[in-house]
Amino acid sequence: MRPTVRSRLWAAGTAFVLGFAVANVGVLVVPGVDRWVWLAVAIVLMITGAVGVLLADTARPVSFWAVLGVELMLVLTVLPLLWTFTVATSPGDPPTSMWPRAVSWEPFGGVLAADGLRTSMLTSAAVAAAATAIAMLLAVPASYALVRRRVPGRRWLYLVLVILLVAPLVTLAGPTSVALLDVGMAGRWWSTLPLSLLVALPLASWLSVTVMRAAPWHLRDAVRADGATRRQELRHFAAPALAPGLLVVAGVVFLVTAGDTVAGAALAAGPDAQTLPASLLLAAQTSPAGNSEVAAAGLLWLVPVLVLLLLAPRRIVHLIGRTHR
Amino acid sequence: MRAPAPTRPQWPRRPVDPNRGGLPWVLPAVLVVLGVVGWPLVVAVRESLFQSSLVVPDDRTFVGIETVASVFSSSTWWSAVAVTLALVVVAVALQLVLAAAFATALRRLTHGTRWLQVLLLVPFATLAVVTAVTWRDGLTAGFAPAWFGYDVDSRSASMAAVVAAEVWRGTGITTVILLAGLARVPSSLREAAVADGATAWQRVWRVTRPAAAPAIAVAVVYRSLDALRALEAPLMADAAAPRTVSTLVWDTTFETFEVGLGAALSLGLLLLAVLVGVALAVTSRMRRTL
Repeated sequence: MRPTVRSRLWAAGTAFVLGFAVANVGVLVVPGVDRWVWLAVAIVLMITGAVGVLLADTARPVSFWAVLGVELMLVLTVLPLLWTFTVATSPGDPPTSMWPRAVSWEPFGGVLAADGLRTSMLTSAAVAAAATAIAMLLAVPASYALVRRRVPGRRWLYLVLVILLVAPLVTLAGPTSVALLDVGMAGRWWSTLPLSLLVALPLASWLSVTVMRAAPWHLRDAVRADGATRRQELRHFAAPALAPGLLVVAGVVFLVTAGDTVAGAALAAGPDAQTLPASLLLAAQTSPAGNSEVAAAGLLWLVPVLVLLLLAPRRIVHLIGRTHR
Repeated sequence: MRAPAPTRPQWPRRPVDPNRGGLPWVLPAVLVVLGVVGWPLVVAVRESLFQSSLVVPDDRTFVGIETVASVFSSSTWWSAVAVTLALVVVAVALQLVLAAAFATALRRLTHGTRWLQVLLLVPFATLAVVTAVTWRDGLTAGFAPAWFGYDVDSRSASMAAVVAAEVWRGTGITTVILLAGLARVPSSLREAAVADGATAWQRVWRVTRPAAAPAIAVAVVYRSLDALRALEAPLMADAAAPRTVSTLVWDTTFETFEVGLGAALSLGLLLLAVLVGVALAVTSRMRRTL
């Protein structure tokens, strides 16, 4: 639907007034180099307003409310990331401007060189890989059965799955550590596995159900009707229809499990067996001067995340977005 | 020539259900979940009946439900519940408003929607502890006090940092969920509403909202329970900031090592999560059919 002229003029007016207000705050209130950040935002908004007025009475299918919304979305998403970068490149006391003044790459080097954080990264990766592998092995058949087979109490099982997905993990952290102490299994690197599984298994099942639901099962029926063997069924149906989605699920589960703070902080045997988020939590609590390394580690953490997001954007958006029917 | 043997009458066979026998596929996952959830739950109930501390392991006294009762009669608990619920309401309301605006904007775009959605997921993928630290620094000692010149030690700045961290982290994923919900609204329905002379508000309230209701319900329930269990941002907040239930559980269990009290608080938080979850799921008519 093409927006009306009135709607476009309202959007253009709103963008212009908003830009004018931002410019005023930037000039009159904000000190230092950050003033230019405010002015840049203001200029973009005011240009949107001007273009909106110019194009209001044309046949172009552009909505200036949508343009304004996307601009605000970009500002609110990107500026905090810029602040994280500023903190990461300003060792010592927290910086007082959002725009980085003197960029220092030392904290990044410190994260990669520090034995503690490097070991934490490896521990996180090992625990998350083990939890993801176990979770996927259990979740894939379970989700297949929930979607395609007759399972007694199916809805109740699914409800339990959903409850576990949003359950506060911290409530089970203390009792799990006591339970592990009871049986003498505390104090090992894999002590975090039970809680990590509690993150990984419900998430893997939930996302796998979405993959299974979206699969073209009529193709499997057709392959079967053509007399395909089990192996041929796997090769011609499961591999192309399910494997890519399940691979992305495994990637998401791995990253979410590795990024969980509670399991690592509550159940790690000692500093050498802490996961990355647990080490960062400890670093941030004990030494405020180490915040730049915490931010730097956070930005480095985003590298594998971005790789996954850029490799399979459509599948990830589908997995996360289609969580309802 | 022998006569053919008389054939036994056969009952008509029931057609074999190709989808039968799903239980063995689900059972391993159920058993593992029972192990990793059931076992700690039993331990939590057991420990809540004792007064015990990891600092003095031998000092363990059976007190029955006294600890649980003391939790529910303590003002610290109810104050933490109030703070937690306030955080949930404010954070989720802000997330929903922003996400609805962003999703509506993205719905109108013809190019680049997928890449913008990927960008929106970056805050959610950022480590929660990093988000908590950077927002705390930004609002209590960094750019915000420098811009607006307020008192860096203020309690409200600490609380604002907790809310901001939670909102920034959750708005992107809420947008993606709501955008998928908006995609369910058939354009023919919106065009019919325009042809019928419906105002913009009527189109939003009577056409878009009902059609996108399942997505809105999922977003509300998921984000509320995620805010309820948020630990990193409240834990990173200034010591003067009021404690949430999650931080109360954490401090009791892992800072002062009072296992019995920690277990009782854990059970209380679980109960709170169940109550909030059920209330929201029922009122928002959440459903996700298999």
